[in-house]
Amino acid sequence: MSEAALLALATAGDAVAFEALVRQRQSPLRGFLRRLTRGDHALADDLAQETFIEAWRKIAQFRSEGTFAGWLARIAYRRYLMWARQRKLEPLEEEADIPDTTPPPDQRLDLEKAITKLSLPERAALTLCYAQDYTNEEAAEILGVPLGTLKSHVARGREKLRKLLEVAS
Amino acid sequence: MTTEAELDALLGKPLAPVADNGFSHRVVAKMTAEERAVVWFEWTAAAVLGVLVLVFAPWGRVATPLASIAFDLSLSVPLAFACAALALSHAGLRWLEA
Repeated sequence: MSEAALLALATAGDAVAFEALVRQRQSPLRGFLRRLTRGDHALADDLAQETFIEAWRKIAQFRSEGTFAGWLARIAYRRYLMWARQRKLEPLEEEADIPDTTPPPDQRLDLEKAITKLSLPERAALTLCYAQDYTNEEAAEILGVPLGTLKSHVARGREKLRKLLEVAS
Repeated sequence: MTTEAELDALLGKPLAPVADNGFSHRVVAKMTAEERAVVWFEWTAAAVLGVLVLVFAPWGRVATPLASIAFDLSLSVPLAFACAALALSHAGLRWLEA
């Protein structure tokens, strides 16, 4: 059954159709949240569960001009922001501290480890725009920032990643 | 040195797929449990309210006017028409659904 048909059924209160939607969408959403939580799988799954439950409650508010996946990602990002703000865990807008020195070859970080060193908006922007193929406009809407801000998060994140991934030749 | 193309390729790799392993089922189970709790709360609140009304309402003072209103309503022709229209439209809708 198509996503549109499942959405129509779920909007009419069909929990079985909604479960099918969750099954279709859980992997990219949990993957996105794992990036946001710096690889904390348990926390990512808790947030994904809360995201889907909020989506079920508010499904009548979903407008079909955006994608369902994008709408879910927006809820998930807001949930993570609230969680992080409550615990004051990480600076949400500031740059994370990146060492200026190039890491030696034996300390080369793989991409996943390197991404954990980025600030939250940078992690989110790079994941949405590259790994999940959202356009810049869609990613900006998901993160609730202007397009220019999104682009600067992407550029800054890329630059930091390049430094982190560099090895002495 | 990491080139732009290498960085693009690294970043463009799709995220590793996450196996469902019962996740979807757990989400729906929690969702329905929460809804059931809300329904229970609403029914309990309604029941408590009903009991309070039964216990504390001044039945002695309202019984006579209520009886008089009920008698008048039972003789009302417009009310009889309205009830008949409701019953007919309900039956018609059920017939259309079938």
